[in-house]
This record gives sequence, C-alpha cells and structure tokens, in this order.
Amino acid sequence: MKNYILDKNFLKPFLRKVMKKERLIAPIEFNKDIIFDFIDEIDEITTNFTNSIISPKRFFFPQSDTILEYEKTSHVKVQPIVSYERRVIFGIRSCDVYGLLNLDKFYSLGYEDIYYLQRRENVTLINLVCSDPCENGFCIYAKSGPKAEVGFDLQFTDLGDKYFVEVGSVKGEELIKIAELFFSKIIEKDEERRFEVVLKSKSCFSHLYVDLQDAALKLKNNLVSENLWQELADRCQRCGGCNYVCPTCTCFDVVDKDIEGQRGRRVRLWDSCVLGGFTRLAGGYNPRSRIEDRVKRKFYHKLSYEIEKFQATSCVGCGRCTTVCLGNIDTASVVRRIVLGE
Amino acid sequence: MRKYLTICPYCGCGCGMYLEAKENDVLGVNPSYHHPISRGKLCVKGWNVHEFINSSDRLTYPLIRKNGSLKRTSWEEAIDYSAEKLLKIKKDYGSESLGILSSAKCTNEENFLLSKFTRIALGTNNIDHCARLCHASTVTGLKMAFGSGAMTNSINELENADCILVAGSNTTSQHPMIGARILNAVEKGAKLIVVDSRKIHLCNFATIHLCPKPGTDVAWINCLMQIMVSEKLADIEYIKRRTENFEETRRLFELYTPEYTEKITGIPKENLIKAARIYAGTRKAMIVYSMGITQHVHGTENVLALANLSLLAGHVGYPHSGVNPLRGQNNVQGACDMGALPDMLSGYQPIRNLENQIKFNKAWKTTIPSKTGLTVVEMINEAVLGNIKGMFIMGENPMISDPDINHVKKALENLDFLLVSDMFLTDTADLAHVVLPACSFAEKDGTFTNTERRVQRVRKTINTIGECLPDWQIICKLSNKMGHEMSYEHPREIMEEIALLTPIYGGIFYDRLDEGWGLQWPCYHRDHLGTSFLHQETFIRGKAHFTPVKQSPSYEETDKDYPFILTTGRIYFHFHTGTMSRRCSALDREVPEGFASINYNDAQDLDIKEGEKIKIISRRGEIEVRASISEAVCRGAIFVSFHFKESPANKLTSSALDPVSKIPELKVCACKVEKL
Ligand code: SF4
Ligand code: SF4
Ligand code: SF4
Repeated sequence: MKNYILDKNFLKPFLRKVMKKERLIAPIEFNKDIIFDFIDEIDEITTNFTNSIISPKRFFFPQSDTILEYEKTSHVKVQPIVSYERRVIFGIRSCDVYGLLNLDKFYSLGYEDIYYLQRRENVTLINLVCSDPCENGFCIYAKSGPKAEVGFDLQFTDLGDKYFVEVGSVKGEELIKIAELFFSKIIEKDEERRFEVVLKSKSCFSHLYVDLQDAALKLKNNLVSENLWQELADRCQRCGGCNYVCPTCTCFDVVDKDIEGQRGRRVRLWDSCVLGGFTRLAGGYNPRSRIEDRVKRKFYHKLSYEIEKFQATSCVGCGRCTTVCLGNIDTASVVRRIVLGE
Repeated sequence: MRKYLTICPYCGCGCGMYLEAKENDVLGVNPSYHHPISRGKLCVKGWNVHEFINSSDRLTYPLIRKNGSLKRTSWEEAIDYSAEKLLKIKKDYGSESLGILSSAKCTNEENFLLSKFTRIALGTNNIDHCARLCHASTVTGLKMAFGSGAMTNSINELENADCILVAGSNTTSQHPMIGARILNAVEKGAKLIVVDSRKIHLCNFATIHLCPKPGTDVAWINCLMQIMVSEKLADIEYIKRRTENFEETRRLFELYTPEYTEKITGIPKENLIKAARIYAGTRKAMIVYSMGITQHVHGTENVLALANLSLLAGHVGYPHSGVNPLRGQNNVQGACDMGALPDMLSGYQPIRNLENQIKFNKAWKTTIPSKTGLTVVEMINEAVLGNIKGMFIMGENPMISDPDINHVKKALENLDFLLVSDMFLTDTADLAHVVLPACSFAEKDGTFTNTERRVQRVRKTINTIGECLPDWQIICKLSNKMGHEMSYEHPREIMEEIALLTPIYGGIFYDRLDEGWGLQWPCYHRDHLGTSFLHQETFIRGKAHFTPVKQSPSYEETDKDYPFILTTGRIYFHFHTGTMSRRCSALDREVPEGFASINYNDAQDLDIKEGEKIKIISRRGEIEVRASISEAVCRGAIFVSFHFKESPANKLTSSALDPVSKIPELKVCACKVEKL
C-alpha cells in the first residue's frame, strides 16, 4: 500500500471533510483527562495525549448496550437493535488496534456477534503512533506497539510539522480520497525520519522486559505457586475495573429492563470475572467461590488459554490495568513475578 | 454522547468520574485519571453507577394520598396541598410541631436551602439528617477536643504515614479509595494497627490486630495512653505547648493498666503494649476511624478518647498525622457543614450565639428561632407522642436506616402530614401523604463535600427524567407557596449566599471549583487555597483539650435470654438503604439478599448451616435472614448489614442515645438466634 505526507496544518481540514461524511470519534481533553468521544467541533480534538483510561473498545462493545426491545403482548414482539452508523476513529493507539484484532477473533469464532461485527465493519481506524510512550504501557513487549504492523486503515506518525501516513487497507485509501488534495507524496528522508521517531519511542519505555511468552509457558506447566494467587487475591478489591478497561476483555452480562407497561429492553453490560456472581450458578453453587480462584483464572485466561486458542496472549500491553487497580495488581508485575517463579 | 466531570454519589471518598450519556440515558462511566481521589480508579459501586439513574422504578410524577392510596397528581396540587398542610399545623400547634430530615445524599446547596427553609418558613430548628446516625459523636467529640469535627488530614496523606491505626472502620469495603491508600502505605513500609471486633480484610495487612469486645473502646484507648505514659513515650513538650487539662485526664486513664484492660476488652496485654509502642514511636501516625467507634451510647467518649490518644503522642497539626473520621455518605460532611443540624447554622456557627443570630436575621430578613431543635431520633420519639405533627423528609429513608424501625413506623404513621421527596418510592415514601419526584445526581448541578472536606462540583449530565425536579427547586417552590420568597436561578447563586454567611466556605465560588479539583475547607476568602490538614501551629479552638473519659457499659448487655451481641453495618457491594445499589444488576447479582455473619463455633452449637435461614430476635423485633458462617466475627457476636428491606437489621437495634451527641447505639444490642 501507498504512503503519504499530511502537513499538520491540514489535519483538521482533512478531519472536517471526514466529519461531513461519517461520524468522527477522537480524543478530547477534559480537565487534563483524555476521553474518546464523538466530535461535534473539530477544535475539540487533541493530538498530543497519552492514551485514554477506557479504550475505544467502548465504541464496539459499550459498557451498556441495548441489543433488543420487546413487547410482552399475547405474542411477544422482539426488535433487535443493531448500529449501522459509519464511523471513523482518529487517534486510536496501536495497543488498542491490536485489542480490536483480539475482539474480532473472539466475536466471530463459532457464533457471529452481529452487534460487535456490524460496528466493526463500519469503522475506519486512523492509528496514531506513540512517539512518547505512556507511563504504564508495555506494548513493545506484547508486540503491539508503539507502531502497529497490521490492523489499521491509516497510520499516522508524527514527524514534527507533518504526519507520515501509511495506508493499511482499502478503507483507508478511500478515506484519503475524501480529501486527496491535502496529501502529498513522501520522499526518502521522510521514511528515515519516521524510522527514527519510532526508534526513539521504543527506547523510552519505562517498563523493563515483560516476558509474556515465558509467563504463559510457566502457567501452562503449572510452575506458579499458589501463594502468588493468594497474595494477589488479598489485594484485589473486586472493583471489576481491570476487566472493564482491558481492550481485550469480552465478557458481558445480559439483563432485561422494563421500559414501561409491557415494553422492555434487553441490555448487555460489561462483566468482570473477578466478581463472585460471574461464575455463581442458578442454584447458588459457585465453582470459583474463592477470589483466589477467580484471580488465578483471570491470568490463566489472559496469558495461557488464549495462546492455546489463538496462538497469542490476549494482553496487548496497554497498561490500563496498572492504572485502574486498587490493589496494585497489574498484568506487567504479575507476569514478572510468574517469570521469576515466585 | 457527552461526558461531564462529576462526583460519585455513593461514598464519602468522592471519586471524580465522567458520565457517558446517549440521548437521555446514562450508559457508562469513566473514572477521572487526574482527579486526586479516583486517580483513574473506581470501586465496583462507582463502576456500575450508571444503572440506577434511568431505572424504570424512578418516580416521575408527584403522588398524593387519596382514599388511602397514593395517586398521580400535578406539581401544583402537590405543592399547594403540602404548603397548606404545613401552614395549618404551624398555625394550630406551633412551629415546634414540625420537623425536617435533610439528606446527606443531596447537594450542599440543597441542604443549605432546606436549613434556611426550616428556620424562616417553618420557624423551628427541628432539622437533622442521617449524620446523627453515623458521626454525630465525631462532630461533638472532635469539636470539644480540637475545635473542628472533620478529618484533620487529606486522603492522600495516608500514603506517606509511618503508622496507621484503623479503629472500627472496615476501610477497604466502605471507603475503597482510602483502603487502597492504606495498602499502599503498608507496601511502603508503614505499620498498620487494626482495632476491630471483626477480622476485617485489612487484618491481612496488619502489623497487629487488636480484637476488643464490642463496646469496650474507651478501655483499650485509655490503656494505650497508660502504657505510653508509663513507658515515657508521651510527647511532654507538645502536651505543654499545645494542650490543656492533661493532668486531670491522666488521673483517669492511669487506672487502665494492661492487666485490667485485658479483662475488660479481651485483648491480650502484650498486644496492647505492642500497639502503644508502635503508635507512639512513629512520627507520622494517622488514626482512621468510623462507625465502630461512633455508634455507641458512649460514642462521644470514644471519640474523645481517640483525640486524647493522638494528643498524648503529639500526633496532630502536621501532614500525614492526625485523627480522621471517615464520613460515610457522599455528602454527609457537606450536610453537616450546611447547618442541617438542630443546633448549628452553616459552618458550625452555634445557633444560640447572638452574633450569629443577628448576622442571619439580617441576611434572611427574618428572626430565626434560637431554641435548639430536635435530633433525628428525638423527632421520631416526639412524633410517637403526638408532639411532632408534620414532617418533610428529603431523600432519606428512616424506615430502613434508623434504629428500631417498628418505632419509626409508628411515628410516621402518627403524623398529620408527611411529605417526602425521593427518586424512588422508598418504604418511607410509601407512608407519606405527598411524595415529590426528585432528580438524581446526574440531573442536577451542585456541590458535594467529601470526607476530606473537599468541596467538589456535581454537574448535570442529562435532562430531568419525567417531571422530576432537583430538591433545591422543590424547596424553593414550597417556600414561595408558604409566603417566604426564594428565587435562585442556579445552585451557583445559593453557593454565593453560603460563601457570604459561612466563614469556612467564604472563598468557595463556582468559578474556582470549575478550575481545578475542588477546594478543601476552611477556605476563608477568594485568594485562600483551601486547607489540606488542620490545626497547623494552633488548634482551631486555640489549645487542644484533654477530656477524661472512662469506660461505661453499653445500653444493652447480653443476658441469659439474649446472649448474642448484634452489630450492624454496611457491606462493600451495597449502599445504605439499597435504593440505588440494589437497582444495579452487577451489585444485586453479587449480593442479592441480606445475611447474618455468625461465628463458626456458635453456628455449630446451634446446628446452623451455611445459607440456612435463621431468626434473630431482640427486645424490639425479629427478622429472618440467611446465615453466613464466618471466622470474621468473634464468638457471641452477630453481624447483619442494614441494606435489605426484606431483612431489616434496624428492626432489632435500639434507639438508646449517646446523651451528648444523641447518636443511637447501632453497634451493640442484645439478641438471640433461632434456627428455623
Ligand atoms: S491485561 Fe492489562 S495491560 Fe494487558 S491488555 Fe488488558 S488492560 Fe492492557
Ligand atoms: S482492578 Fe485490581 S482490585 Fe479491581 S478487580 Fe481487578 S485486580 Fe481486583
Ligand atoms: S463508592 Fe466511593 S470509592 Fe467507590 S467509586 Fe464511589 S466515591 Fe469512589
């Protein structure tokens, strides 16, 4: 695929043209906090930011999502609610692009989840390479950043006064066509600069090596002491946050809520495998009634089971679970402890 | 979809969060990363807060009782009728026959207005709120000792303390963010002393756990002081320069030798000695306490004892060191600050003080009553006797939260007129003559004050649901109808009046709150940056005051017929009377019904199995509830949470009061247990 140059002065003009055709989602700064949101005013967008607390997963798999409405008349009427809106996400980071690739696999394996897949099909992703890695991220060791190799439709690298634009798909190419005049050809020096920017970024990670593969192997061979899970369980406050913010967590609960009279809606909500209710069965029996078992299972799932199923861990190294955890339990440090054989 | 920075409506930590809404539905939340409390985190209640807001159970129009049942009515009729009834009672029986319950869930502005309404429109000081049930003894005790009843420090200071003494607070479960700070401190090497009659989660991290018999707190605290003095660990210089009345106090606590105290409390004397050495030996030592200390007939004495302890070690008046009552509700601090109290105006200005009366009379162009009003439990008692005839309850649910519910029910049913405003048809609203639909926190602007005195902005995210109105507008409507004009366009204007009349809020204006993460009072003027820790250089009352206190018995002791001690409290997954948390599916799924924790050995003796229904009986009532067998409670004790209306723990509790602060003894009552 082709590469282009976009002068920074023309980023907003370009996005404005995009906005006229599709719903634009981009990072906005609120009180220094970064949140991905729908854009109404082009000037709300920020381009200089560390990644958001909640990943753009929310736009494909919302925290609560009405999947159908029903009416309990003599014969029940059911109306599925699927979103077909065409969207462009600008500013998604590489880890989250890989996160979506993970979700793609999960939501299309066996059962095709139309709510997710429709939204996914109708989105174009413009990935922004991290030239300044975030504090808690370790995408570099999860092979999901700071620059993406696959998964993006367009990928922008910040060269100071301009962006180096890589096209990753036909959808990306089509997006450029909306405002072709803003894009120019690259010269060799641009490629060099792009390489240097990424190289510098790679040297700036604050994390030491996080060896996901080795941890996975140790888990598979049961080389991890039960004490570790016990200790983590003691620190876990059962907030659910680590699952909610993780770009690769897929679990949801389904509940029916009344609207009024006979009408109701079926909603799916983010769920968390550290909560006791997650595994409790209808009769009250809970195969994982102890928090130790649930925490343990969470890490087995993230690191080990996924390798067996999809040949890759489902941790993309975004570091969000470090930020969100009340007990300082985060995948990076747990992996390190597993590797050290604690 | 738009996100607005606002404050979590559950606990007193006061996490910053953005609500995500589509059309008028709140669909999710997003913790604030830069907010000093949440720092990108929330507890499970915060993460699931979006679920109750658009619940189909919300009240969406006013209700009026006709022929015995509540029927839909218009705002006009509801307000006209309520105003007329209140005025009639006032005319026929006098102002003192009216009572108001304000709300620790509502904003500062709403509490201030309701306090004003009570004083100008009703002409009484009969106003109180649920702080009476949780920290009344703190407000009186710490005010006597230090001059202010609030946390002396800020939440984040905990992380750099050398020693944290947690007494009667299940912190990780009730104040998750504060619990997390304590874990961080321990990770950094701080010593943790846990004093609790239950084996709470924090015990896993404790250097030492003292497990006193319920109701024996003064004894162990006095004993720590005795040890500190006898081992010469007291800070004599500090006592001399910063405090008064030490010698008198000393004569009393010196009676509490470790041997004697072991007999009263059941705590081995070595542990008492170890704890005293740790607490006195560290420089940055913070005491954190909560309802395990306050909810006793001798609650004020417990608080005074803790204050004495901190003074003896010279542990108040600088960062990372002090005495910190953790306030439970999102805005219980603010409701107290705003003068929703029978003896104080906003900012703890005593109502009996003439200067205060003059100031408020001038501002409000009226004569405010000067006689101290009734507290929560007193109002209920007077209603049973027929002396309180009419009440307005804003967003509180005494039918679940107050002690001795059967008695509360009798009181409310005995009223000539009961007006309730709430989001849901609570058990209390169900008894009302008029019910007004109130907005949730997501539908209004205002401020909450968290437990560390941080005044923070609550922002409207969605339009009001149905015909709901924010409580401040409800109060204005009612007041106007009763002939006392109140016209405010926005809560901002109410805050301007608060700033004018309340020295500790003197510098708090919306534009300043919008700039950062709120301001911590005292904040005296526009250029004042707020106060992160109290009593720097001098105590608010000048010199801190030692008060001698001795261990007195609980109101109700166990006996042959009622051999168990019942303590009540909260659990992590639910909040207060459950009207919000039980409407969140994730929380409801975690803990769908109430339970009683009972010690393993007691369960065996009574042949009770895990999950079995049991009956708990006290002198006042009985409940049926499932048993949960646990090592966390000690022998002879039962713990029941009070969130569940199907098994309301407060049917059992007694409304015996601490004579000073009038807090009821919710932590100790005698009961018996029967297998069903
Ligand atoms: S496990 Fe943690 S670091 Fe890994 S992808 Fe999930 S949130 Fe990010
Ligand atoms: S974020 Fe931390 S405290 Fe919360 S559920 Fe996950 S591991 Fe537990
Ligand atoms: S309940 Fe308390 S700790 Fe939990 S999110 Fe709300 S304010 Fe924070």
